[in-house]
Amino acid sequence: MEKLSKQRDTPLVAIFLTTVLLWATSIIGSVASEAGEAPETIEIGSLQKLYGPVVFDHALHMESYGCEQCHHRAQEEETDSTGTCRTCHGEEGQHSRLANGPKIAACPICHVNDAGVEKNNPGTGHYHTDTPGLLGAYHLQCLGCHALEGAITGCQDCHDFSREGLKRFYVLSSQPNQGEANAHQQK
Amino acid sequence: MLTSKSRRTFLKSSIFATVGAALNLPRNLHSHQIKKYPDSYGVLVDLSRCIGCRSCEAACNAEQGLPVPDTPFTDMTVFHATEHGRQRRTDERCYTVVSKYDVESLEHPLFRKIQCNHCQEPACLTSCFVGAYTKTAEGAVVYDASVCVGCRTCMVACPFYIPTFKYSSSFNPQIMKCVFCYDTRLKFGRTPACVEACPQEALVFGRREQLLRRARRRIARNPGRYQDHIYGEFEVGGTSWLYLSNVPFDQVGFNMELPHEPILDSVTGFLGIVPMVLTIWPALFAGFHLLSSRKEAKREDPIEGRGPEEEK
Repeated sequence: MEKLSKQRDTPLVAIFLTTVLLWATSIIGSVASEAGEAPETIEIGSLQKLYGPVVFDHALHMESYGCEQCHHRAQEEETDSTGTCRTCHGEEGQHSRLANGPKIAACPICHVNDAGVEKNNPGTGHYHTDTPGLLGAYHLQCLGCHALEGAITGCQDCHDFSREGLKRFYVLSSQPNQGEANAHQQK
Repeated sequence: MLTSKSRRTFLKSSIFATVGAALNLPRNLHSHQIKKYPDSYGVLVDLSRCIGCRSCEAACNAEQGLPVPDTPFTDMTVFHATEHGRQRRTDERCYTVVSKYDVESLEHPLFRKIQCNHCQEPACLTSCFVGAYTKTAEGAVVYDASVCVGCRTCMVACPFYIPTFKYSSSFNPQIMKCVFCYDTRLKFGRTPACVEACPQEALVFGRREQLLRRARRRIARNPGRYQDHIYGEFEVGGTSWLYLSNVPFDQVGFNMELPHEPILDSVTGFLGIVPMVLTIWPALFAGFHLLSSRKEAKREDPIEGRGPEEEK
């Protein structure tokens, strides 16, 4: 958290830190250990590279939606044919990752950071075969619901470009031209 | 009389032989096996997940060191820009483009990423007479500009209209197309740049066989969501890139008329006849010509003989 607040102050430090933090696996922000201690906001910055962190208003979303709508599968009471964690792992606690963890699991507990990679080795790939990586999980979950609910769906609605992102999308290179155009208009 | 009869029978039999051979030849050539690349990589594309953010285009541009685009990759008006009534296509400045499709059955548009599909039996490779193309064990169809003569046959041969010509350097011919990030990533088993950039995980990288299994499972586990078809599993002999769609594939610009056999199979029959035609036809038609000219000569002879008599 401290590191992130510093980033906003100096862009140079920001570039350095974003590269350092590149694809770091931890979720920055607090994760509730129990449902009663749900955080107000969560700063999701674990994957930031081309974009800055997302400040997720957890409290706002809690007003309208149940926990299980986002914290799916693991906490579902009723199992269905598509299978939940319980289908295989039985009651809570039997899952290695959930055993000592919180009751409400944060996304990175199951969705590991390996965006778009088939993770199973040949011969052993029978389980957890189509679990999205962390990047996919965030976007599929957030955007999927946002599209259905008619909420904001633009990339920069949730996260601003980082300096690297501006460069990657050539937003930065087109800025001088825009600046010149504005200058001409002012004259 | 005897000689003309035997000539007629000879001609008859030779015509039958030619026709017979022409009919038989393609069938014999059809027995060719589609090559297998057991450990080759592929990418599974889920069209229902793509949101048209163009992150893959930007990533490809950066990875391959392609020129600066006309507008930033955040410009979504490119989806409406059509050239000659067509959606955007790959060109020498971009190896991959995302196209937008408005589908009647859906409230929202669908997006489709276009790039080289890295066929199991690439038509570009088989059409190239200097052997500039190679299908690597990893699954990539790569291209060697140093031997290319710039004939552009591969551009005609490709069923997906992917290879493009670098018209800006015609004297130093170069075909521009997606190379599956072969030199920088695939060779080392690393995820291609576009796949890594996809926020929706609409692109998944892995072994082709595994991806096919994963795709089938995804279809089975989401009843009614997907078309029961994996585009690229069999099309033109199979492609490394595989597609899942939630609407019929022809509604999102896929060519559903492509055969399951490699493009090579569509032309071997014809090409097999070519040498035969070249060897038999000259002799055949020379024979016809000789026959007809002899008859004329026979007919002309008595007239010429009579001529002076009549004058008398």
